This record gives sequence, C-alpha cells and structure tokens, in this order.
Amino acid sequence: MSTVSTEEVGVRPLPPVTTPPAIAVDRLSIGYAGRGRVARTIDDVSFTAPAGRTTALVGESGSGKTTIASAISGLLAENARWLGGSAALHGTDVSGLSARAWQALHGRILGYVPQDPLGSLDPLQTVGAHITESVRQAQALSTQDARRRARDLLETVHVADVDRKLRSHPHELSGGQLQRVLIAGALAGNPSVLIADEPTSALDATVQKRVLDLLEELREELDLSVLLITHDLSLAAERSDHVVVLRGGVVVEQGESDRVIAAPSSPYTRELFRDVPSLTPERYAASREQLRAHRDAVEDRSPAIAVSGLTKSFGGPSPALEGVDLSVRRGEIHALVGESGSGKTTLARIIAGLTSFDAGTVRVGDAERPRTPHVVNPDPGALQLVYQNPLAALDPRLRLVDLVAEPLRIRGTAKAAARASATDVLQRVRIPESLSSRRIGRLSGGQRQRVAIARALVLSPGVLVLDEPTSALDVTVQAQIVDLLFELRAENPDLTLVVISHDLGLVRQIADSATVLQRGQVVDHGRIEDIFGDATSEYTKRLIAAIPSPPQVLV
Amino acid sequence: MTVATRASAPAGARRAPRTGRGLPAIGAADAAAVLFLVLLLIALIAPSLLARADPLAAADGQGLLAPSTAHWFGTDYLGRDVYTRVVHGARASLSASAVAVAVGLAGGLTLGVVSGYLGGVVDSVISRLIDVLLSVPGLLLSMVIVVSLGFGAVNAAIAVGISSIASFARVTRSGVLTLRSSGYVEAAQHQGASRLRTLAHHILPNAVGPVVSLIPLQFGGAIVWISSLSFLGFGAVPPSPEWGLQVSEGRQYLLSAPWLLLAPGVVIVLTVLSASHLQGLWEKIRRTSN
Repeated sequence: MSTVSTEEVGVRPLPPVTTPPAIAVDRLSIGYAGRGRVARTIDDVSFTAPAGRTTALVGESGSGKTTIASAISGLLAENARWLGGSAALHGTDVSGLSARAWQALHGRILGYVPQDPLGSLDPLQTVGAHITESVRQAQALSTQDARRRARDLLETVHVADVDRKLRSHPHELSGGQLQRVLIAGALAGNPSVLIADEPTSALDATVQKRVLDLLEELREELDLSVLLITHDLSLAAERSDHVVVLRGGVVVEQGESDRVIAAPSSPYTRELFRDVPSLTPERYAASREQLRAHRDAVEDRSPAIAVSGLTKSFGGPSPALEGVDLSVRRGEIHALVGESGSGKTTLARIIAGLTSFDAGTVRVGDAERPRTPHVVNPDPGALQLVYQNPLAALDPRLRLVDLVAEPLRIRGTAKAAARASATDVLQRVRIPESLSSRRIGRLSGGQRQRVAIARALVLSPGVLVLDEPTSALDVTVQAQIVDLLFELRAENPDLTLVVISHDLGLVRQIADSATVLQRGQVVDHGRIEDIFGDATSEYTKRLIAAIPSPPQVLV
Repeated sequence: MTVATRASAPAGARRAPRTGRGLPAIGAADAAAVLFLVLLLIALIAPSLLARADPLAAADGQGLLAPSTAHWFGTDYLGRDVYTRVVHGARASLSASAVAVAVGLAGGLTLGVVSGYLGGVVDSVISRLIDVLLSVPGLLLSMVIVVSLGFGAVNAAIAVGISSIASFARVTRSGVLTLRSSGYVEAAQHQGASRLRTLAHHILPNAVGPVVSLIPLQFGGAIVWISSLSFLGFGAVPPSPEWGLQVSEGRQYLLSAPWLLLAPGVVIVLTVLSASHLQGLWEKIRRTSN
C-alpha cells in the first residue's frame, strides 16, 4: 500500500524511512481572499499522520480543520490562497496540483467522506447509481463490473438488504445508512487514505458509535490511514492513535493520543478536555449537592410537572407517545433522553402546551393542560420553552433588546421599563450591552442560545424547558451555556429545568433525574445515579455504552 | 434628455465597481436607471425646470416639424412641442400609475393577509377570486372596470390598480402562510401574544419585504396599462398631455412624422425598464444589508 507513490511525479526528497507518513503537512499557510485582501486562516501548520493509523484533527468551529482537510484533498474553495508550505500524501507532494492531476489521485489514493450526508448526495440519483459512478471515476470498469463492485462496497460497509438499498434514493435512508453509503463511495477506488470530515456529528450516539466502529474495522481490514476531523475531543481521544489540536488556524498540541490524554501540554487542550461532559462527570457536583440539600429542606413536595398516561398519535402506524408517566420535582434538572424519533420533543411540546394530545393528564404546577392547547398561551409565566434552533424561533427583524422585552410588552409593561428589564436579563446571560441593538442573525451560535434563554427568563418562569440547548454547539460553548444554567439555579434554587438531550454524557453531568424514551415509551426513569448505576432496559444500557470513553481516565 | 442620460451615466458608474463595505456593486445600467428616474421625478414635481414652454401652446405653420435643436422631439400636427408635452405628460402618467399601484398594494395586502392568516373557507374563497382575476386578461378587466366606473384618467388608474390586486395578494398570501407556521410566530404565541399582536408585530413586517420589492415591477406595468387605456380612449382626455394619449395621436402620422409616436413610446419603455431595474437594485441592497 505504501509503495503507491514512487512512480508519481514530483516526489519530495524524504528522510530515509521505510514508510512515508500517510499525510505530511509542512508549514502550511492558507488564506481566503475577500474584500481586496487575503485573510490568513491557517498559519504555519505542520503535522504528520502515520500510515495505517487514525489521526484526529480536533478544534472548535472556525479553527481551520476543514480548510486543512480541503487543502490535503484538493477541494479548496475558489477564493482560498495557498500562502506557503506543502502537503504530501504518502510522500507525493500535492501542493498546488492542477484539477486534472487531482483527478488521478481522488478515489485511488484519497477518499473523502463529507460532512453533510444528505447534502452530498444527488436526491434524484439512486444510491446504486451514486456508488457506481464513484467506482467508474476511480477505475476503468464496464458498467456490469462497476455495479458488482458497488454491491460489494455496500456489503463492506455493512448495509443490510443491499439490493433494495441500491435502488433507494437518499431520502429513503436513515442518517447512519447515508453515512455508510458515503463511506462506500469514498472507498470506491481502493484509496489508502480516508479523510472523514465530522462523519458523525449529525448522528445519534448509538449510530455514531456504529459508524465509528465501522471506520475502525475498515482501517484494519483495508489497511487504510484515516484522518478524522471532529470538534469532539473525547471522540478523538477514544478513536485515534494520534491527535492534532487546532485553534485559530494554529496547531496548539499534537502527539500520541494516550500521551495527550494523560498529560496535555497546552492549557487549551486541558480546557477542551475539561469542557467535554463525558470526561468530567463531576464538574457540577458541588453545586448539585447544595441544590439537593435545598430541595430536601423544602416542605412543599408537590411536583413541578406531572404527566400520567400520556398518549399522542400523529396518525402513523405507531403512536408518537404511549402511556408516558413523568414526574419532575421542583428545583430539579430533569433530562428527557432518547434517540431522534423517540418522542422527546413531542413530549416537551405537550408539556409546554404547544401540541395536542389524545389521552392522559399533564399538569404544570397547579394548572392542567387542555388536550387541545390554546393558540395563545394563557400563562406564559408558568413555563417557558427554549426552542432547539434559536434562529428559527426568534424574529430576525427585531433587535435583541426588543426580542427579550417582548414577553413583557405582551403583558402590557411600558416600553422603557420592559427594555430596562431586558437589558438586565441580557447582562445576566452575559450578552454585552454593546450587542443589544443587533439582530439575531448577526450573533454566534452560543450567543443566540443565550438570547433565547434570556427571553425565556424575562418573565421569571418556574419551569424552563430546553430542547437540545447545546446540540449545535462546540464543547467549549456548550460548557459556557451549562455554566450559565447552573448560575441561574444558584440565583433561584426553585427553578425547574427540563432538558432534552441525546447526549448521555451531558445528562450524567448535569441532571438530577431522567426519563429515557424509546419509540414513544418510557423505558427507564428515576434518579440519575440509579439510571447509570443499574439501568433496567437494554436500550438505556446501549445508550450509556455509546458515550465516548477514552482509554485512560483523566485526572 | 434621454440621450444625455445614457451618455453621462456610465462614466460615473464605472469608477465604483466594488466599493465594498455594505454597498453592493453598482453597475452602469443601475446608475443610468437611477438617473433617468431622477429626471422623471423632476418632470413630475417641477416640469418647467426641464421644459419651459406651454405644453398646450399651438403654433400656426409650425406643424409636424422634424426633431431639431429648437424642438428636440419635433412638433405635432398643431405645432405643439413634443418634448415639452412628453415632460409635462409625466405628471399625468406617473401619478396615475402611482394611484394604480397604491390601489393594488392596499387591496392585495389586505386580501393576502386575511386569506393567508385566517385560512380555511375564507382562504379558499379569496384564493379562487384571485384565480379568476388572474385568468382574465388584465387589460380586458381594466376596460370592463373603466366602463362601469366611467371614463377618465383617475378611473383608469383605479381600474388598473384593481387588476393588479391579484399579484400583490398572491405574494402576500404566500409570505403570510410561511410565516404563520414559522417558529417565531409560534414562539410569540407561546409568550401569550394575541393573534392581532402576532399579526402586527411579526407576520406583517416580515411579509411586507417581498411585496415591497414587487412595487417597482408593478409600477412599470401600470404605466404600460394606463398608456394602453389612454391609447384606446378609455383614459385621459385630449388635449391634456399624457404619454399613452400621445402615442395614440401620433399613430396617424406614423409614416410622415414617426417622432410623434417614437418620443413618448421610447420614454415609456425607458421608464418601465428603469423601474424594473430599480427592483433588481432594491433586491441587491436588501440582500447585502441582511
């Protein structure tokens, strides 16, 4: 495998090693041209990815990891400028190769698994046609042979019911299956290097685990070198042999994964590790203990939310929720856990009074939710929902201060007073006053989430329901949002939080109790220690097993 | 007048292809369109600045003169200066178009919002009504309306406005429909906002954008329609200067004095082109500022 490159043109003189590294990046600098100047986004980056191993490129969004991957794979955007340095695949210098020269390398030496599976596949093309095309681009084969090879490839990536899948269109497959199809396509020309750009960030934990297992298996079987690009340090630490940590286009740390986990040399890496919930389950232990003591001291034990026998059907073959019972104590963080399609968002929306239900009772505080919700919420002060996507749930036209003031304005507060309260709340969620006249589209993901929380807080509700509050955020920003939630609880120990999440690592770190949903039914519920200590259902055990856990425990 | 516009515009425009920060790239055509519209605006507010003479003053023995330095667009059969009449005709033609667009906008917005927001039976009834309006040729519909309202410039404008209600209503309705099910409208109601408040604060302001950008296009269309109605004798009455009427009068001299028809005709074409160009420019600015 590693002798591939010697006939290629432009071999760089290399030190006399037996196997050149799969990827060698040397003092690489790349910038993007725009508005008459070139902004440098990659600055003097050097690293090597050993052959036959998995190397992880880790960093927050904007750290330049995708730019580096595009440079190595000849997929740089048109306005990108190569400012210096070189990159080599198996000893072959690929810096500044022409598109034609890349064509020879794509597929044969290098396979690329893109980030967004659905966006990377032609919706009108069958899966079979997609892979067959990739095969024929990489190898001169007859249509017959190419089809046979496509079938073999799908079997290699363990897609069940191959013949039917070959005839399917992308929208008929699940996210995990699509990711497998893309991997199959990337493997079409027997490449020796596979670059996977955030291959699992859109997937549920259990599916993510299976896709990563597959990549590992393929690496061993096909003698691949894998470059795994991810923002999730725990995943990188668990799945790779070699880690390169990027920040702002500069390498801050690199080395063997075991060494980096055991003794990270850069403060930034240490911070990244601290921000990963699955690596620091005890991060909020002290604060949680304090709040628990407060809860136990309170006499009034009536639940903040009580759901019993809740059933909801959208008319499909099986109900979205079936016989769901749930009770949340005042002042708790209760987690609703489950994979996509398990009904957790539907349950949250019913609790928030936004979706109708068929049977059962739902009580929030003293009020019972009607089966058909009011179009206009009669009591917004009781419970507030923070939507999963703040960008969709906040009017793009309004200034931040007006967005946050709106709930008060609706209740008839005078404009000046409402704005003053809004400014206070924005300060509490650490949005600087200088941003208060901006519009939501011009904020970062973390800031948007803060504004959404501020808007929910301005009426001082008793219950806050947060739908996947951090699923779109980097670990660092996620940690900031969770810190904020704990600050809010410290200010008001009676604030009840319901957090929807598919990330059990996060749930273990923050929640006091949890309800695990599978296909609309509760499979586990209770105190968080009990669920993690001895989960009763197979499903919960599987979810727990899917939490990325690096081989060594961090001190 | 138009010749001067065309010649001077590119010189100013070419200098700033991409000035960057906030402003979109402005091309020669954009500058020409804006300049022409500025001239039209002057013709609308103070026509005497551009043409001093009396548009109604006839001169014996000066009939049907070809364009010259004394009479830029020539003279008509009564010896009236065509250039002066075109400049003074702007007021009648443009204000009639403005009335038409206002009528169309008011009617279309109302129908579109009611139909999109209330939905159900109301929506079905209004939507079918819009279908009917759209399926009848606009000019025919305008003529029917003028006949029932009575002849005259204002009535012609109202008629054209009514015919354009359908387009405005369609665009408004689709915007309102999308917004009604949008996350932030639901979020506002979750905050306890009444239907009326949601409509006024979130749906209308966000739905209005695409409707506003339809205005220049409809304005151009209205000029053509109103001119057509005048040409057919349904609109402005002679001897008042009005572009459509002038084209109609010039028709008889098409072979002997083509400038009678060409001058107002070219001005109509340029106005419509500039108006629709302005729409493109508007869209560009909107996208940049977002």
